Amino acid sequence: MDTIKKWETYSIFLALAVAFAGFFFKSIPIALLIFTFGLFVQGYIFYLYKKIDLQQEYLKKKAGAVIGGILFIAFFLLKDGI
Amino acid sequence: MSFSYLFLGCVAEDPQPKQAELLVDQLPEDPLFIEFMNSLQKSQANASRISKEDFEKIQQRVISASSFAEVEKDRYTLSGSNLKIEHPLLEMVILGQKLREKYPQLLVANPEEFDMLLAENISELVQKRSVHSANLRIFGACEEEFDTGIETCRNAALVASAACGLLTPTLLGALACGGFVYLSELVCIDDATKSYKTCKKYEN
Repeated sequence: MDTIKKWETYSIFLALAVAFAGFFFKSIPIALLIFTFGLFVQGYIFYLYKKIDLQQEYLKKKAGAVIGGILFIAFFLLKDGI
Repeated sequence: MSFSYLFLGCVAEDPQPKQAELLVDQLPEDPLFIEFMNSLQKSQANASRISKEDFEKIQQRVISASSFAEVEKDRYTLSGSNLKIEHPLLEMVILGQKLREKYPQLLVANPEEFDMLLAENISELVQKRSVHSANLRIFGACEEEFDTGIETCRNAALVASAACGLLTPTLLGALACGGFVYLSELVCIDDATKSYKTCKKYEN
């Protein structure tokens, strides 16, 4: 479980790194590259959860975060149009 | 394009067909027209940056103006107001008025004829610009830079919010990350606006 926590923390930093690459380095390609790497990390985290048979818990936690992310995407897409 | 007609033909008389066609040969060579077209492109870019209400207010005041002198007088009133009126829009109005005085035939062309006239000349203008802009800073370069900056900020916000949703483990984490993205976007837009202002200072 400790390994999972460590990878999850690492994953949060990757999310922040995507934002830094986009906003402060003004580079969308680098942001997308880090994002893609982050997705592989997520795959590995899922694998670790699956190994200890807790994939349901992973999906439950992840569903909330994904819904949050979708809401933010909708917000950023629509805020200039309103 | 009809947007330009508004500024060129704001006191239009009864339309007579095919008048604009006669101008097609004369206008492209006229520096005033080239300047007007540059201004038109800048104004169209700026029109998307100011709010709809502000833009309608400007339109209303421009339409109600009946002479060049009146528009010029109005220019200072508008620039001094808090409407964040973009300079190119007013510049375009003034150039449109000058052009109208120089070519009275413009008054009798209808919006469709103006669209045709401008469409025929825009491609030529773009070609001329690309030749002359090799070593010179082209007219409207600041606006292009600003648009690119804003576009980057928006794209970064979308990618980063997707990353927040998919890379953070919990809903709380995603919300905190989204808040950070929102603040970063504000800083990014602020930076782009500052560079635009600096660029305009050097341009003028």
